[in-house]
Amino acid sequence: MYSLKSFIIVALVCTSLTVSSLDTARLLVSKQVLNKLLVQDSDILVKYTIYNVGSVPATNVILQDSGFPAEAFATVKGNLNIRFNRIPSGANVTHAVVIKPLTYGRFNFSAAVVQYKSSENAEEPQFAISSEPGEGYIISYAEYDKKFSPHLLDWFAFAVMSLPAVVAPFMLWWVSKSKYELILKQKREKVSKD
Amino acid sequence: MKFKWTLLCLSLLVASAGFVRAEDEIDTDEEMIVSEDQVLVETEGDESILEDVEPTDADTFLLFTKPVFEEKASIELPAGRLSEFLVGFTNKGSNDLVLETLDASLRYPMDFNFHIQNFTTVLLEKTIPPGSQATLGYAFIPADAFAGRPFGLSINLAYRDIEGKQMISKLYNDTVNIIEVEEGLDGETLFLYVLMAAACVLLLVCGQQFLYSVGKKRVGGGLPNRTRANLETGTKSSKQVDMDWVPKNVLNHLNKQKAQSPKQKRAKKTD
Amino acid sequence: MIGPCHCAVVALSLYAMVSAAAGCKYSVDSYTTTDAMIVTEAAFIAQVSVAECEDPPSNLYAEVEGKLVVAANAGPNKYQVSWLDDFKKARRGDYNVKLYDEAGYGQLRKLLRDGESISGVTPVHSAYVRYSGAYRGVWVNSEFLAAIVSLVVLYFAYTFKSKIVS
Repeated sequence: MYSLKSFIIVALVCTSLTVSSLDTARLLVSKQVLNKLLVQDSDILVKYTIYNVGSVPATNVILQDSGFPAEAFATVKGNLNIRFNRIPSGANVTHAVVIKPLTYGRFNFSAAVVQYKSSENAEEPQFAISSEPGEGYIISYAEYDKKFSPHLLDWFAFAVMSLPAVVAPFMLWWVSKSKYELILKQKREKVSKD
Repeated sequence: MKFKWTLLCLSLLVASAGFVRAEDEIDTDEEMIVSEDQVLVETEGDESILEDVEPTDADTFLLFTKPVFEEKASIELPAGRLSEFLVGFTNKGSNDLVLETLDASLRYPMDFNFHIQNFTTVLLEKTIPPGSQATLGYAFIPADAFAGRPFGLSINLAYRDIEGKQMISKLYNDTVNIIEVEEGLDGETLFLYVLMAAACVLLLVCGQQFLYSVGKKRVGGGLPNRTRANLETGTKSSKQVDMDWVPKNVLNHLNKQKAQSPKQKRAKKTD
Repeated sequence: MIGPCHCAVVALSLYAMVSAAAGCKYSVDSYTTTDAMIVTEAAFIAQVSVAECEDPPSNLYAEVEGKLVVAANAGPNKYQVSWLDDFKKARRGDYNVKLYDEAGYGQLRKLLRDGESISGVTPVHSAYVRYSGAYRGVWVNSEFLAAIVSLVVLYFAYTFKSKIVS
């Protein structure tokens, strides 16, 4: 009799375990850097997307990204530590942060850390890490400017420098022409006076 | 009697466990079909071990995020465009697992051993503590040339356990359609074409003008412009002639003559 | 008999909503991408902070041009609404961001599911996020421009010269 009881208990525990492992939320977290170029002192757009592919809503989802040290990055807009109270099953949420690198050089964009309650009666939070954007090279602003600015000032300087070659002969011609015309005018006046 | 009971219990337990397991699998299958948004494929980690069947501590999940599919059956990847998927990895066991590599490749659909396009193998070297989850991102571009044909897509995740035993989880191993993206005329390209056409027209006009002017010179002038300009033709109008050196009386005489001459001419004509 | 009663209930609930919202002061601080040269998508970020609120909403939702966005909690009384758009699709101008609390969001979803107009639901706050377009680089290449200018100068010089000579 005793063993039957224990069996029932074991069976109950078994089923409850399987049920709980079935009815859980499961989050996939992607972290992406949506930049063509990483430039010092210019915006870097970081996008976090959380997909709930589980069968129940995830609650108390906390996303923390400590991958951007304060001495190397300034936050332009957005928060790197956020919380979503609830992400329903099958839904996804996005979050965007804009940061600005203060220096240049190679930088490894590491993963963000997420913790969430995978079901209503889960006691311990589920820890997860997001995908990693990987390494990137942040170029200095001077280098970027050299490559991509319109170089208007340079062209203006070029125009100024090439101006003498065009204007000098023209001026010479113009001076002689106006002198000649002045003489002609005087002559004509003389003629008409006569 | 007691022994009998325990035996019964044990067998029941085993049976029920087996049943629960089966139910589990059915449920996941259902989930695959029912799921609303983007859920795609769920492969249990224990399907694909290098060695013989042995339940592993890993649980993986594959989700295509770009393009987004409604169902598993209709995986269509655009050729020449970026496709992205996420891999969810859960360590269910009690020991650390180390993720090693993630790679994807297009295979010949009849024979999956025949590689057609290999994509980057991502080195991960990430340690996943027990009970923890990780998400991996992967992006690839199927080559333009493969548009309009089915291919076998194979996605493999390699990881090792604490003893250093390597395991490969086949996340996806099925045929997909590589589709061609038909592109409408883009505004930018249209503008480019218009600009090119305008440049062509401008060139033609310039050429015509040039030819015309050259032709006119040849036909009309007989001599080139410059030589004609240098040719001495004498003074044509008396106003431009410097008359200072001429003595006054001669000048007066000349003027008189000039005034007279038309009259004289007329007189001659009337005569 | 049911009609007025129902009305009263609706009015009461409306009143409750308004009064709940009236206590809070919302301020929105926004950001939009300005440089399309280095970023691949236009980002819209609105940071919402709530002040003088006895009972700040636990969740905040936003509706922007028919799109529902869940706001992230970024600390006490702070929320962040962010969404992304293609540079080609994003239009310049003001985007009306309507903020809803839990109750309003529920109503909104119900109406959207039934395919009805959502103008009946009053947001707790609405703000504008201005997107003034992003710099996509120079319209023409400076090299190209310089070439054109030099060609024009050459043309003038040539015509002038031929005029003088002839």
